[in-house]
Amino acid sequence: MTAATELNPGVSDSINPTDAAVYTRQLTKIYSDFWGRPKVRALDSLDLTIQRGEVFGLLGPNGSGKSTTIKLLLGLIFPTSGEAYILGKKCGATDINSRIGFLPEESYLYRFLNGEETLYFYGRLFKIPHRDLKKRVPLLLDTVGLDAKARKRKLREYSKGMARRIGLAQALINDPELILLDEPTTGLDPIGTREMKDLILSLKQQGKTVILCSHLLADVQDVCDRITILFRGKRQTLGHVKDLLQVKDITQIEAQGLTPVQIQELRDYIRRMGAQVQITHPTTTLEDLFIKIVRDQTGGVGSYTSSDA
Amino acid sequence: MPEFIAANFAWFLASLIILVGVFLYGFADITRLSVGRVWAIGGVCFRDAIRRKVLWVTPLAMLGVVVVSMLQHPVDQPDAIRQTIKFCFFASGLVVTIIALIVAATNLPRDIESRVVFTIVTKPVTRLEIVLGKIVGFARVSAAMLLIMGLFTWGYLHLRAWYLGKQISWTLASPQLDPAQREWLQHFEDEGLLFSQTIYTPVRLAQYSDIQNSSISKLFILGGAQDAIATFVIDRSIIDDPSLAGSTYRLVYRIPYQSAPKLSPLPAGVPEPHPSITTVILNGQADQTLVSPQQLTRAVAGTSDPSAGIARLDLPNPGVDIPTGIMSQLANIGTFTVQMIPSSERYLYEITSDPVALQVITPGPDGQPVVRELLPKAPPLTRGSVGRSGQQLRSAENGVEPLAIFRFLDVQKPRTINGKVPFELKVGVDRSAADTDTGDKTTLEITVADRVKGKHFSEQPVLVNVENRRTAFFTVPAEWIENDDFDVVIKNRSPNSTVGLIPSSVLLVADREPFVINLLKGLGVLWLFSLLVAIIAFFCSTFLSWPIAVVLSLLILLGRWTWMQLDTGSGFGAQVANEFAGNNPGLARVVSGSVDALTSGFNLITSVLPDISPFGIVEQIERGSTIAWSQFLPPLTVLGLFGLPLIALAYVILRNKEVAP
Repeated sequence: MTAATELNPGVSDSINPTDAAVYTRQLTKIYSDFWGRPKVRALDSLDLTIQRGEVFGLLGPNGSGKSTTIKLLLGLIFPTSGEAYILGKKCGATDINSRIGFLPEESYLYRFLNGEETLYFYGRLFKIPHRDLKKRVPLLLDTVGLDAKARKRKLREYSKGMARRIGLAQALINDPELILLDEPTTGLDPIGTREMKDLILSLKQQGKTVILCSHLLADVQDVCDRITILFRGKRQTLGHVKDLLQVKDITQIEAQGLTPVQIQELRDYIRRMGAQVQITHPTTTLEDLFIKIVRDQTGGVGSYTSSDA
Repeated sequence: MPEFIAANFAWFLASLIILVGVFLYGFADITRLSVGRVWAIGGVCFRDAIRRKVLWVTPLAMLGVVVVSMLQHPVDQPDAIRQTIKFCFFASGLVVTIIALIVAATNLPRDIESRVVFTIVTKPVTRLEIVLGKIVGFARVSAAMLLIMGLFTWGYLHLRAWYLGKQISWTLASPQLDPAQREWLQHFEDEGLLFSQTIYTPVRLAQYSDIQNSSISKLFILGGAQDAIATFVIDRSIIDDPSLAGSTYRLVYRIPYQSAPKLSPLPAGVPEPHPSITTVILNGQADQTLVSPQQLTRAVAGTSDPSAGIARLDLPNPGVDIPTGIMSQLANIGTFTVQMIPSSERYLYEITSDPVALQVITPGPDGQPVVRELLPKAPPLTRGSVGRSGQQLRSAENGVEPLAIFRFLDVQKPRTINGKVPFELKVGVDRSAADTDTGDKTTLEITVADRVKGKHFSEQPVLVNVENRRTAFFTVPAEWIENDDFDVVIKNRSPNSTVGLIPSSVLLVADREPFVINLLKGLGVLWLFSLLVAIIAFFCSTFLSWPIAVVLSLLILLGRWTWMQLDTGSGFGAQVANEFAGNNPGLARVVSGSVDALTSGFNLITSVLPDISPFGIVEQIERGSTIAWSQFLPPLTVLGLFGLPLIALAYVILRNKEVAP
C-alpha cells in the first residue's frame, strides 16, 4: 500500500494534487495573539484528498477544526504551515473561485437587498451577462424553493430557513464544480432538510464535488460517500461511510410477512447454531414520519415553497 | 540624494508605492481587473450607505442653514447673501466630510464583522477590485449628498437673492438715501447679488513716498509711517570657519536721509527729533520676530546734522552689533530678514539697492580688523507700517506723499465695459475724531503705471470714496491697462484718515460667468475633498477598528494644517528658551535644542501628511470670485500624491489580511 492510500483510505493511490478536488498535506493553522505568540492550534497537520465527483463530509464537534479547514481552503485565512490545493490550484488563488460555490455556516449576505438583487449582485461578481442572469436567477430561486413573494422581500425580513435557501442559491449562481456547504441544514425544518439533502444528491449526480461540513451526523450519513472526523484539530478517522459504520460481527436479516410462529422457529434455529439472537420490528426515522404526515396533508406534493418568515 | 529626486520627493515616493504595491506586487490582480465587478461592489456599498439613512443628514443641514441665515446680522444685502453662501458651503462641506469619514471608516470593518465579506472574497473578486469598488461607492455617496445640497444651495440662494434684491429696490426708491450708499446699492441692483467673476489679485503691495512737485526719482520711505526689509541668506560657515574665529558681527546702514520739504513748526521747547533706524530681525520663512531691538547693541549712533538738508550718514557707519550667540542662531536658520524702521515723520530716508550690509569683523594678524561684508540677496522691499487693517497709508504731510503700489502681473486682456476696466477696492479706514465728527469722506486717488511702456497715467486720476471694510467699485480707462504688467498707485487724499491696505485690497474684475457654474465648480472641489477623506478613512479601517480609524483619519487630515497654525518656524526653540529660560544660558541651550528637535520631528511627520489648503474655496465663492479650472489641479495633485498611494497600501494590507475574524 502506498503512502496516499494509507493517508486516505478509500482513495486510489494514483491521485495527485492537480487531479483531486481538494488536496492538503500537513495543513496546519495556529492562531496567534496580538504579540504573535501561538495561542490555539486550530488545525494540526491535516492530510486530506477529496476526489472529484464525491460528496465528502467533514465531521467533528464544535472547535474541532472543520470551519478552519473550510476557511483555509477558501483563502479566508492563511495556513501557518503545510499546503493545500483546490481544483488543482493553490488555495487563495482568486481565479479558482469562479469554479467554487460556498455556503457559509450562516447566510452572511447584505440584508438590505432582496432575494433577486442578491443573486444579481453575486452574478455580476462572476461577470455573468445580464441576459443569462435573467434566466438563471428565477430558476435558482425555484430550485431552492423561494416563491415570487419572497424574492422581492429584503433579506432582513427572511426567516432563518429562507436565509439558508438564498444562501444556497448564491453558492450555486455560477454553476460551480465544487460546492462547500458549511452546516447547510442549520435552521431548516425537516422538509427543508430533506430537500437540501436531495439537492446535494442531485448535485452529485451532475458530477459535482460537494464538501459538507456538519455536526448533524444523520444528515452526513444520508448523503456522504466518504467522511473524516476531526477532533482538536487532528484527523481522527477517514473513509467510506458504509465501511466506517459497519459492525462486522453482527449480521442483520430483514424479512417481511413472517408469522409469530415462524419468527419463533427462526429464533430457535439460530440459537441451535450457537449464536445470540435478538428479533425486533424495524422503526422508521422521525424525519420520514414527519415528511409522510406533511405530504399526506398537502396531497402528496413533493416540495413546498418558502415565503413566510 | 540627487537634486531632481529631492525636489520631487513626494512624487517619487508616491510613484514608488503605487509601482511596487499595485504594478509589481499586484500585477496579476491588475490583469484581472474588471470594471463591472468594481461597479457592482460600488453599487452595493452605495446602497448600504443609503440604507443607513445617511441622506437624512442633508435636511438637517438645510434646516441649520436656514435657521442660521435667519439669525445673521448682515451689514447690508450683499453681506447677507455672502454670509448665506458661506453657511451653505460650510454646511455642505461639513456634512459630506463627516459622512464620507464615517461611511468609509465603518464599511469594511462592518463587512468583516458581519462576515458578509466571506461571500465576497470567495467569489472571483480580487482585493484590488474590493478596494476600488468601495472607493467608487463612497464617491457615489458623496456625489449624491453634494447633489442634494447643491440643489438646495442653488434654490435657497436664488430665493434669498430675489428677496434681498427687492429690499435693495425699496431702499433705492427712498429719496433720503446717502449718495455713497446709493452708488453702492445701485451696483448690486444693476449687476445682481449672485455673481461670479474672474478676479486678478496683485502679486505685491509696496509703499514708498514721493516729494510733492519734485522731479527727484529716488525711493524714499517716510519715517514713522513706512519701513523697509532686506533678506539675508547665510550658513553655518560664518560661525564655524576657523579663519573667522573671534569675529564680531554688525549690521551697518547706508541710508541717506533728508528732512521733509515742508516741515510744520514744532511746538515751542520741543527739540527737533534725531533721525535713526530701529532694527528688528525676522525669521525669513515665518515672518516672525527673532531678535528684538533690545537684544542688539547700538554700535555707533547717527551723528549727522539733520538741518543740513540732504545729508548722508557717513562713516563711522551707524549700525548695530549682533551678539555672537544670536548670530549663531541666525546661521542655523539660514534666512533672515532685517526690518529697518526709520523714526520721525519729519524725515525721508532713501532706500538704495543696498541700504544695509552684514559685516563680519575679524581681528587681523597685525591688529587691524579685517572686515568682510555680506549684502542682502535682493533689493529691499518698502512697506507701510503695519496697523490693524494692514499696511497703513497716510495722506500727504509735510510735503511728502505716501504711495501704495499694487503690482499686477500676467493679467490677461480684461473685459471692458464702455471702454473701462472695472476694479474692486476694499480697505480699512481709521478716522481721527475730528473727521468722524464732520462726517468727511475718505477719498483715495488712483492712477495706473504701465511698467512695459514705462508710463504713469497720472494726469486724470480716478477718485474713489471708501468706507471701512466695504467694497467700493471703480473703473479706469482701458488704455491704461493694455499690458500685462502694471501698478495701481493709490494715494490717500483725506488728511484725517489712515487707510489700511492688504495685497488683495485692490482686485481687477476681468470677466463674469453665471453663478451656477461657480457653484458646480465649488461642489466639485468639495467632492474631491470628500474622496480624499474617504480614501484616508478606508485605508485606516483596513488595519484598525472603526473608532480608532476615524480618529487617525482626522489626525492625518488635520495634522499638517494644525501644525501650520501653530506657526513653529525655524528659531522656535530659541523663542521658547528666551521666554522660559532667558536668564540661564545652560538651561536655555537645553530647552532650545529640545524644542527644536521636537519641532523638526513634527515638521518631518507633518510634511508627509496631505496639505488640505487647496480644497479651501468657500471664501472665494463667497466673495463672488470665479474658480478657475486650473484650481482643480492642486486638489487633484493632493489626491494623486496622497490618495493613490493610500489606495495601493490599502490593497496590499487587505491582500495580506485574514478577513475571517
